[in-house]
Amino acid sequence: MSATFKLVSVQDAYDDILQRTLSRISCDLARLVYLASTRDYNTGNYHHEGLVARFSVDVARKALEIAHRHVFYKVSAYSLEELAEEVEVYLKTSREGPLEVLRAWQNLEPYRIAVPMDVSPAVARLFLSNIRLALAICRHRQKPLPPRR
Amino acid sequence: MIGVSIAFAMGMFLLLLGVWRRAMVSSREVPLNGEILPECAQFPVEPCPAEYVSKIFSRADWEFVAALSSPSLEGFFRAERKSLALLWVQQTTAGIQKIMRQHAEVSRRSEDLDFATEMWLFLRYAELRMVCAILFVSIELAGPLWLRGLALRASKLSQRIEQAQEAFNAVAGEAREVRSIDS
Repeated sequence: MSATFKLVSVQDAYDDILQRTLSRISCDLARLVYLASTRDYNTGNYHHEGLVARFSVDVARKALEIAHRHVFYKVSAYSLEELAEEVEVYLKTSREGPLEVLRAWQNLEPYRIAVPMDVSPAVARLFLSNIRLALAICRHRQKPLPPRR
Repeated sequence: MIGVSIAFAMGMFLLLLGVWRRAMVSSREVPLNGEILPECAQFPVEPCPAEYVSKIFSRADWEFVAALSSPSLEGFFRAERKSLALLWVQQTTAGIQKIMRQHAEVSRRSEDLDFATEMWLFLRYAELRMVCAILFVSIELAGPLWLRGLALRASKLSQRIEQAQEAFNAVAGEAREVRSIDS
């Protein structure tokens, strides 16, 4: 009985974060970055004040973990063309200038923290590799055309 | 004539050895810090689903990059995919080795081994190791973009062995329980 209740609660919490928060974020890459940001760097535990207020700490943690894995696998399955478009949307919707974000992403590689724990190492590597390639493609597209003679 | 054949065979062997060594080096050429390497990973963490294996070896992404007409992007893409594919082959090999080691441990404790099952597992394992070896050398020689079919074959074999091992473990566990109840 309690296991069923817990499962229903996690599903409810998952639906809640999906409807209240994730649906308002512009693209899957931004959703992934957001979900990764709800994870504590030191412990790997997820935390979301709003969810905890409506559900328990454990239920909120599990729902965030599931949502993070789900979005991660979705983004990892994107073709390079789709991912490059996602990165462009992400750059355009960020508060800072797109070129500045692009430079920071290429140099500091903050997207590395977007990988959930215990996912397939090959998929994690595919995700990182595709992000690096998508950033290089965006950089290539943003190069100004040579002046006409 | 025999001397020429032996020299040819030895030459081929040395060539393959050289390619193998290069592939090993390529797979360890980690472009960034903190990469997940097979040596430090706990296998199986989570197997790579076939959908993603297909993506690693897919030509669609290459066609997209090639259409951008940038030699530097093309070179970057080829290097990334090559090291990724080699890493996947190494992880698949390491993962299946771990499964087989676990199987050997369970088998040693088991009192009613089925010869046909053991033979099936051994043959699939040998086949998978051979496919992985071919993939490893071929990726180094020609890149991963021509090897999707073979990679999917390896992925499927790996899954089948894992499933067979899980079923074997379940049966061995049940048999142990029955014996403990009887005694």
